[in-house]
Amino acid sequence: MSQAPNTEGARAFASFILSDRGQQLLFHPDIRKLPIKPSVYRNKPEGYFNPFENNPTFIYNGRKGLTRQMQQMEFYHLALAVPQSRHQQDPSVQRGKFLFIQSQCAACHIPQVTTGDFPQLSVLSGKTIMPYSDFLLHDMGPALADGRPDFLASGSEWRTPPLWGIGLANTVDEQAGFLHDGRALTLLEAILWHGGEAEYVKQQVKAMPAQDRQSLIDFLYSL
Amino acid sequence: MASALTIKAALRWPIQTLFIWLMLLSQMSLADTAKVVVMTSYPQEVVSQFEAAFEKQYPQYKLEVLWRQSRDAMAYFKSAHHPVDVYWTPAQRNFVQLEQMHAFQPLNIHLEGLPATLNGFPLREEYTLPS
Ligand code: HEC
Repeated sequence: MSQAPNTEGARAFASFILSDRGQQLLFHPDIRKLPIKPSVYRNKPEGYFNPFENNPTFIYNGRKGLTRQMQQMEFYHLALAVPQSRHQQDPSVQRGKFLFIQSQCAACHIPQVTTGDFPQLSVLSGKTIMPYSDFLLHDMGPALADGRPDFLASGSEWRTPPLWGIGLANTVDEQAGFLHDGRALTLLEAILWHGGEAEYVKQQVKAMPAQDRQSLIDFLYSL
Repeated sequence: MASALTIKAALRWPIQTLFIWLMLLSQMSLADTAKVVVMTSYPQEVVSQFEAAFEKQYPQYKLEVLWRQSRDAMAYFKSAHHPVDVYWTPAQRNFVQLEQMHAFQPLNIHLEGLPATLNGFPLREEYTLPS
């Protein structure tokens, strides 16, 4: 930086980052980033990606940048369908749906939302969708807090994640974890981590008869 | 008794000077390890690896890490805070803004073995190239 009190030290640190030794550190299993020094890839771990090997997927255009690829990628994501819900006629799933609303899960995980105007892809305008989210921030209590404020979210606030498709999470990835850091191995565990604004709903789930708790989980698996 | 006292008195002066010497020495070695202030948004797992390896290779320096997310980093630079030696981050947009604020000085380090672009994507600003 122009005001650097220790220019020599700054130079030493930057040189170190760019040195073979520093670049090699990026292979470390805790880091796993891509070195910008081609020679370093000679010692890359088995199967590590080398962007300097002929790889034409992303050719950067100095003027237009990545915009074309970005637009295509954005369009692809916009056009992705949500998985169909399943087993909606199952009595346990129906009981679970009732409990989901009765115990106020739906206060944050709002089942149904209608989209606004979306000129870029008009089929997505004015569409009724079932995301099971209010897309808002909630204080989830100290057990989920990471103490790191980020933009408008305090260190204990999280955005309600949509629950659509959550029943297929383990089909896609057997190891899939739930909550912001994947700490919950099951859906019930994810519910039991709820605190703060959602403390009272958790207490309701805890007080449920075991059969009802199972129905609530069956319902989540049907989404 | 009297002789013990004289021995003690006789030793006082050399002990005092030795003490002063030790203090001077310890201060000199403190001044020897200059701190390098690095502002970064990289997580702890990344920073601690680099911190340990850097201090091992350059024992004369001690890293002082200021952890700031990109937005907070810009707020830090815009208000008159303590100056920072190195800003180490993947926040590309901050670099553009900081450059417009003339917040950088040329680095003048060796760049051999480091390509300027990757698939057409610039990996560095031209002005850091040695002329
Ligand atoms: C006060 C708002 C609120 C209420 C009420 C609430 N939740 Fe949540 N829920 C959240 C937030 C916010 C998260 C994300 C927390 C995190 O990632 O740390 C979440 C996460 C989850 C997840 C994990 C989703 C994922 O993709 O990892 C499940 C499952 C879930 N909630 C189910 C429920 C159920 C069932 C109830 C009712 C018993 C409920 N929630 C009540 C706000 C709420």
